[in-house]
Amino acid sequence: MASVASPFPAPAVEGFRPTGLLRWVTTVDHKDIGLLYLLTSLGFFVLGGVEALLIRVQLAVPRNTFLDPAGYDAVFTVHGTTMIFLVVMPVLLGFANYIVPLQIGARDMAFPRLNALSYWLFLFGGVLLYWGFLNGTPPDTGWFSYAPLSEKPFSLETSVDYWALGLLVTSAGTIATGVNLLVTVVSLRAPGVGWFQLSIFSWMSLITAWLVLAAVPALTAAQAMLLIDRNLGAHFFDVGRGGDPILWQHLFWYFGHPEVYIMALPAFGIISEVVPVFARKPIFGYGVMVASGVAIAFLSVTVWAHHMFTVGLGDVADAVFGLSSMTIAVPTGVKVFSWLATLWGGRIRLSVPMLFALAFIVQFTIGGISGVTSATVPVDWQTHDTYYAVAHFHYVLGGGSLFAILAGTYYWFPKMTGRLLDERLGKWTFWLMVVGFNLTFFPMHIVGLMGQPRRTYTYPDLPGWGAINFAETVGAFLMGVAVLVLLWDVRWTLRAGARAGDNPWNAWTLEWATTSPPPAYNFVALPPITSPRPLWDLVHQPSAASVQASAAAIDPARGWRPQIVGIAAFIFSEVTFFGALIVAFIEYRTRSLGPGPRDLDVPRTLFFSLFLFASSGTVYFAERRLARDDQRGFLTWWVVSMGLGAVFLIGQVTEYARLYADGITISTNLFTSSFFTLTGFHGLHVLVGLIALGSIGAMARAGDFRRGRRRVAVDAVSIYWHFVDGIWVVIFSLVYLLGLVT
Amino acid sequence: MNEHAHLPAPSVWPATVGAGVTLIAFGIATSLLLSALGAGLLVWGVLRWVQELRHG
Repeated sequence: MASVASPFPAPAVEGFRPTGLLRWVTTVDHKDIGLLYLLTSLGFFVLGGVEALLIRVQLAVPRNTFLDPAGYDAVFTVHGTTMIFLVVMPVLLGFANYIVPLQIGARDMAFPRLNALSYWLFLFGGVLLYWGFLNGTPPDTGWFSYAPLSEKPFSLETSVDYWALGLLVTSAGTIATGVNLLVTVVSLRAPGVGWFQLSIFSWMSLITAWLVLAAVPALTAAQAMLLIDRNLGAHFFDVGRGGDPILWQHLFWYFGHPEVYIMALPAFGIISEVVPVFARKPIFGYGVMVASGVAIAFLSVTVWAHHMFTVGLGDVADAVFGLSSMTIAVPTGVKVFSWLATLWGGRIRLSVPMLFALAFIVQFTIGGISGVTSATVPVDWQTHDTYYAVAHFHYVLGGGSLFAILAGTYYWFPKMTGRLLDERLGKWTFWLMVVGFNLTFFPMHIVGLMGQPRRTYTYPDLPGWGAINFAETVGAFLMGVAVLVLLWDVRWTLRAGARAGDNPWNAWTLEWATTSPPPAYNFVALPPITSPRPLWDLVHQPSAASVQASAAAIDPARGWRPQIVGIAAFIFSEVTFFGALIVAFIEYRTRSLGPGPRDLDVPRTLFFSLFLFASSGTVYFAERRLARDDQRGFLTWWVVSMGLGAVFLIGQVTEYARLYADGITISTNLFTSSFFTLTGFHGLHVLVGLIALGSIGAMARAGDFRRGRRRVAVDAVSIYWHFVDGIWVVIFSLVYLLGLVT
Repeated sequence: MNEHAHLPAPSVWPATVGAGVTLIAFGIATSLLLSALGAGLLVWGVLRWVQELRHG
């Protein structure tokens, strides 16, 4: 199948384009940034892989002393954190970065500079995380960093601080990418790419972006609380002062389980691209595949406490979360059946991407089945802290997501580089990986049911345990060899691999309608788009095969303004963040002796709050003046808004000063910890809002908004300001007004 | 037909802002002086970023 030939000349790219290292430091091109994500993740994958091998060497024989307990704790902590936050998640974001704009016929992501910032936050956050290793205090509290182990009395060094700070920085980048991906798909689809013409990978990326915004800020809030505990003496998770370590678990797993689907949904998308192309059949049940992805995303935020069955939440909670966790298997099963139905009757080509996709289906299904067993509460009680859970988890994210990543790597490598990875070496990689993976992780089900505990640096020489563990270690090294073969294949292919051409797999989605690698502007022209597989339609509906568009026509023409969608998406993530802080406040507001809600000066705070509420009105008046191009009136109301916001902030600062003068500080008790944290973060948002208002004001003075120019920037900042006001209504009611009546 | 692709110019400011944010975080675990330096870098990067957007 040919790709799209265009009668139009290629567009010229304007402006200076640096080369060499400077190109990579300054790039804002989604394809470059996608490659940077993939390459950086590969580096972290090698680190995480070496850590896995260290774990397996230690566990190869009973009572081994290769690693001491502290070293083992550090290695398994950093292995888990690396693989989740610095490998699987960013690799999938890297694929989305590179592929989604191409699949929707866009020139780039919605916010290219923000996209670059997201990458740098990921890289720098990863380096910060590893800084603990370099200064001799690696994190050693597990990738979940449960309290109270992560609290100061039990982790005195800075290791947990680097863990939390590194992840805070990478998470900020991840949230920004979530916003960017969501806006890109919503606002930048080329004409013709409606919701039912969207490829499944792009659909899954969109759903994942929503899930990132719904889940990741909960972790951010929890880490902020942990850092405030550790560095400012608050007591959120400090058992000795009444703090609740279970709150950490709730917040962590509210993020942690959707996180599994943040890593699985894009993998489903990759498999849904590869399977039809190599079965030579359109995907079976396109609509159901999309709907099941949406269902999984929504259900995934209702299942978190299945990680906490052994905590003792009570029968009702266990039953509810067990049921919801089993329910999520239904849409997941729908996907598996759709892939199988796509394969059924297809002309299957067992190329390397397809081999990895087939292995994914089998292995992910095994992980799904063991997931259902773990959702059965009594079974979970027996297997929770055993290698059965390790096996389940790795079948989902290793046998599932990692194999999908490898399928995607072999599938899209020709598009990214213009060269085909070697098929023979690819099959070596596949078989070594598939044998190694299953040899490592399948026996863990058995030894787990026999009772071998996870997260323990060694084990007794019980019958069968040594042999099974030794086999697992052999499997791990086979996977290590598979990675070496892959790296060699990549190196060899980049130097002398076969040329791929534009569409080596005869695939059907839009990324294959441009050159390999694509030019900076992505497309000269697009084919007619009437389905999710426009290149299939070119062959099977040749009458429609005329090129429809010029370079100008691929620019989006939709009503969804990116800046407005972007600020709405960001606010959605902020709701999750403040939601987590509010949950903590509600739990702690009356839980300890000493200062409480009744010590707050409600009338005084109400007085200052009125200034903030009024500022929403004045911002509205300013916008109305701008709509009439009344620059002077706009600026006047805008400055008034800033003044009102500043008065509120002064009120908050003086309230804090008064409380501190009375000896009421963040470390006084649980109420003050949660009070200062919640209101302090709101104050920080007001400050950021004031800076944004000030920037807009300065731009208005320079005449930036005359005759409706850049109006959208004003709209976006206004919406943010209204949100800051709106969330204060909730906080004021909960913190101050509720204190009057309870 | 539009023969010019209006793509954003390369920019060093996203990396600068990223470095500023990271330095702020690093300073929390080491020295608040580094955090202050990071805040300065952040403000500088954001201002130049906005300038770039205005003139882009």
